[in-house]
Amino acid sequence: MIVTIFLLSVSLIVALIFLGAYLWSVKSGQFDDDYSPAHRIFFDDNLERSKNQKTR
Amino acid sequence: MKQNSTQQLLTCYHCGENCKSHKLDINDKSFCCNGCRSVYLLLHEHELENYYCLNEQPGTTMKALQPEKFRFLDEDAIAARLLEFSNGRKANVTFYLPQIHCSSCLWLLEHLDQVHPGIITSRVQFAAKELSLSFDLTQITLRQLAELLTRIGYEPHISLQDTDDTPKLATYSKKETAYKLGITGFCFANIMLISFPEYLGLKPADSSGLTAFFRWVNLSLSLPVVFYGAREFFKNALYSFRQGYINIDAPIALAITITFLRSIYEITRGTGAGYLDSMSGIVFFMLLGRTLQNRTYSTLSFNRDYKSYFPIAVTVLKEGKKQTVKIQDVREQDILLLHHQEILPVDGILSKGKAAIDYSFITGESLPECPAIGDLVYAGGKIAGSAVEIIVVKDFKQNSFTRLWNNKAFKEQHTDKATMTTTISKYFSLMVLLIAFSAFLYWQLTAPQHAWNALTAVLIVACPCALLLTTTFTNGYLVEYFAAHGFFLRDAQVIEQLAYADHIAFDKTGTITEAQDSSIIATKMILTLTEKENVLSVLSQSIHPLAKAITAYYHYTGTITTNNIKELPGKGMEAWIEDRHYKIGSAAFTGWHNHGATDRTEVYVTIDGVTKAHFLFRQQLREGVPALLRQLSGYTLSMVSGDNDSSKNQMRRLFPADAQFSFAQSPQQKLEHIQALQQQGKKVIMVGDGLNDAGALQQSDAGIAVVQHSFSFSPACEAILEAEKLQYLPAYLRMAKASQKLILYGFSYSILFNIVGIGFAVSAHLSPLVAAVLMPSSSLGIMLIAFAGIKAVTHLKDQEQAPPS
Repeated sequence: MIVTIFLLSVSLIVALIFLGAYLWSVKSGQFDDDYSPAHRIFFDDNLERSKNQKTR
Repeated sequence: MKQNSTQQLLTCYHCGENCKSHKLDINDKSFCCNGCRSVYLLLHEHELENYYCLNEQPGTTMKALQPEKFRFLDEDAIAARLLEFSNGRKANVTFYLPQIHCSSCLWLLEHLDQVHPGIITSRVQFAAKELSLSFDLTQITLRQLAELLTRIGYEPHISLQDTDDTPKLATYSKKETAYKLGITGFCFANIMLISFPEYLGLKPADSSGLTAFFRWVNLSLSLPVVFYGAREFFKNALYSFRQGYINIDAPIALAITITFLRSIYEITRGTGAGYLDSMSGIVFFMLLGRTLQNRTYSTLSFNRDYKSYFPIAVTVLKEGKKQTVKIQDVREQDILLLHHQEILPVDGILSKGKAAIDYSFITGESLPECPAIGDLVYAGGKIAGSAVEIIVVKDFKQNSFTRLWNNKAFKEQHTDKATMTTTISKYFSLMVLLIAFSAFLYWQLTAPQHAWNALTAVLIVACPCALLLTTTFTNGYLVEYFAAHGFFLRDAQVIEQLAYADHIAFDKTGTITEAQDSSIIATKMILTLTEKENVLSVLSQSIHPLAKAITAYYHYTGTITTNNIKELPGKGMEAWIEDRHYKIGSAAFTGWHNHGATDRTEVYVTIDGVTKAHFLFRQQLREGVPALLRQLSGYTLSMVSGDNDSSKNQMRRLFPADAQFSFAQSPQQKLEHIQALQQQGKKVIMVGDGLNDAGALQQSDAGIAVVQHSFSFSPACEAILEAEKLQYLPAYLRMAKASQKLILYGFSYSILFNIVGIGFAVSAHLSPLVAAVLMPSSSLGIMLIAFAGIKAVTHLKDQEQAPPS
C-alpha cells in the first residue's frame, strides 16, 4: 500500500515538473507566434550566407 | 491574333494584378506598375529573389510613393515615442506592417540586413504582423528605415493612437488563457486518473488509508481549478448580480460552489469521494469553449475612431521654413504644406496650389472637388495632385468631423445585450432551483437523511454548463469559419444580432460601388488619330481624376507635345494645338447645353466649338452586387448615401421596388435614418465603409464595415467584411440564422441529459461514477453537435453561391 502512495506521489511530482516547463515556455513567449518558426526552418539560405561570409 | 489574347492575360510577377502596361519588362517578367517593377529590381540587386521562389506573386500592389510621408519621424520627440530603445548608436523599433501575409514576407523581412548595412537584425512576429528591428543610427535614420520598408512594399502603419498618451485598453491575453487551460487541464486529467480506483471497485472499508490518500490528493488538485480556473465564472456572475440580472455564468458559479462544498464535506467526513472529477471536467470544457469563442484577431481593431485615420504630424510653414508639427498642435492661421495623397488634418482655406480633393471617405461624394484659391477645404479630404498650401481655420479638435463623435451613440458602453442565451439560462436556473427545492422538501418529509443529498445532487448534475458549451462552441466554430472567409466579427454576440435583423441599410460610395474606378463609356468619338493624341496629351497634364481615368482607359503613356494649356479648376482644360482650339471639360464649360439631364459625370471634348467626343462615367458596381441584392429578398432594404443623386436611376434598377433611397446625407443624417428605422421596431444592419458611416454603424444593431483589405482603415463597427466577399453577405446571414437553430438543437440534447441526470439525483442515487459518466459525455456530445452542425450549415450553403473554402 505504501508503495502505491509513493508511486503516485512521485508520478505527480514528475507531472508537475512538466507542467512547470509548459508554463515557463508560455511565459517566455514561445507560443505567441505559431507561424514563423514553422516556416523559418525551410529558409535554406542560412547555409549560403555563412558560405558567403567565409568567402568574403 | 493569338499573341494579342495572351498578352491581355498577363499578370504582374510581383503582386498578381492584371498588367495594363510595362509588359515583358525584365527577363520575360511583366509588372503592372512602376512600383512593382522597382521592388523587383531592388530585390534582384541584392540577390533576394528567393522572395519569389517561396510563394507565387507574393507582393502587394504598390501605391504611389509619397516622399514626405515619414517626415515626422525626423522629429526627436515623435521618434522617441516609437523607439523601444536607443543609446545614440543602436536603436530598436517595432513596426506594425499590415501587409505581412505569407512566408515570402517573413523571409524578406528577416533578410533586411542584406538590403541595407545599417540594419543589424530583424525579427517578424507573424501573428501580430509586427517587425522588430535593431539598427545602427549612424548609418540609417528611423525615417529612412520607414521609407525603405515602403519601397519594398511594406509600408509601416503608424497611427495617432500609437503615439497617444492614453493607455491602451486591456486586450485579450493569449498567455493568461494558455496558463489557465494548461493548469485546469492538468488538474482535470490527474483527478480523473486518481478517481479511477474508486470507480473500479476500491472499497473504502478495506483500504481506508489508500482511499483517504486518493481523496485528499483529488481535493488538493481541485483547488487550482476552483480558485484559478473557474475565477472568471465567479467574477461574471457577481458582476451580473450587481447589475441586477442573471446571466449564464450565475448558475454555473452556483453549481461549481455546491459541488465543491459537498465534496469537501464528504471527503473530510470520510463519507464519500465527492464529485471533483465531473466538476473539474466541466470547468475545463467550458474554458475551452470560451477560448474558442473569444479568440480575437489581434491585428484587427473594431474600435478605431477618427484618430486612427488622421496622420500623426503635418508640415507647417513657419516663416518660409518647413517644420513638422504634431497634429494636435496645429493652430489657427498656421500655414500647412500638404502633398499628394496626404490627408487634410483640419479645416482650412486653400492658399496656394492646384489639387483635387477626394472626400469620398468622409462624405461619400464620389467625385472629387477642385477648389480654387480661397475656397474652404475640410478635414479628412485626401489631396490628389501637386503640393498645396492651406491656411488653418480651425484647430484639430474643432474640425467639422469631431462633432459627429460627440453623438450619444458613441458613448454607450458595450453591455450584455439581452440575448437568447441569457433568457433561456434564466428560465433554466429557475427550473433547476424549483426542482432541487421540491426534491429537498419531498425527502425531508419522507426520509430526511437523503434530503441534502438530493438537493446538492440536483444542483450538481443539472448544470447549465451544457447550455454554455453549446453557445460557445457553436459560435466559436462559426466565427472561425467567417474569419477564414474574410468576415471578421468583433465577438460572438454579433452572430445573434445578425440572425435576428430584418432590415439592411447600405451606403453607396465604396460599399455598393467601387471607390476608385468608374467605368467610362465613350458615347461619341469622332476624333482623328492626331486629334485624339492631342486630347490625351492635354489630359495627361491634368491632375483631375477624370482626366487620369480617360488617359488610363486609352493606355496613354505619351509625352507632352504642347505647352499652350490652361486648366480651370472645376471646369476643364483648354489648349491651342496647331491653331485649333481644344476645350475639354464639363458641359457648361464646353458650351454644350444638356437637355434636362441631372448632374451626370461626363466630359465633353470640343474642337473649335464642335463637339467631337463625349465620355460618360458610370460608377462601377462591386462584383456580385446585383445578385447580392436579389438574394436579400427576406429583408427590407434602404440606401443612404452622401453622394448626389446622379446615379438614382441606376440604383433604382438594382434594389427591390420597396427600397428607400436617400442621397446627399450627412453623417448625422445617416445616423438619424437608422434611428428612425429602429423606432419602427426594426432590427437594422448597416453596411458602410467610410468615416461618414461611422455614426450609422454605431447606431445600428449590427454595423458591418466594408474594407478593401483587412488592414485598411475601418471605422468602429461590429464586423469587418472584405470588399470582395460582400457578394456572400446573404449566405453569411443565412448561416448566422442557421447557427441559432443549431444552438436550440444543442439545448434540447443537453436538456435530455439533464432529465436523466436529475432523475438519478432526485432519487438520491447519484454516485460519483454516474456523474462522471454523464457530464463529460454530455459535454463531448455537445461539442460534436456544434462542430458537425456548423460544418453542415456552412457546407449546405456552399452549393448556393457561398465563398469557395
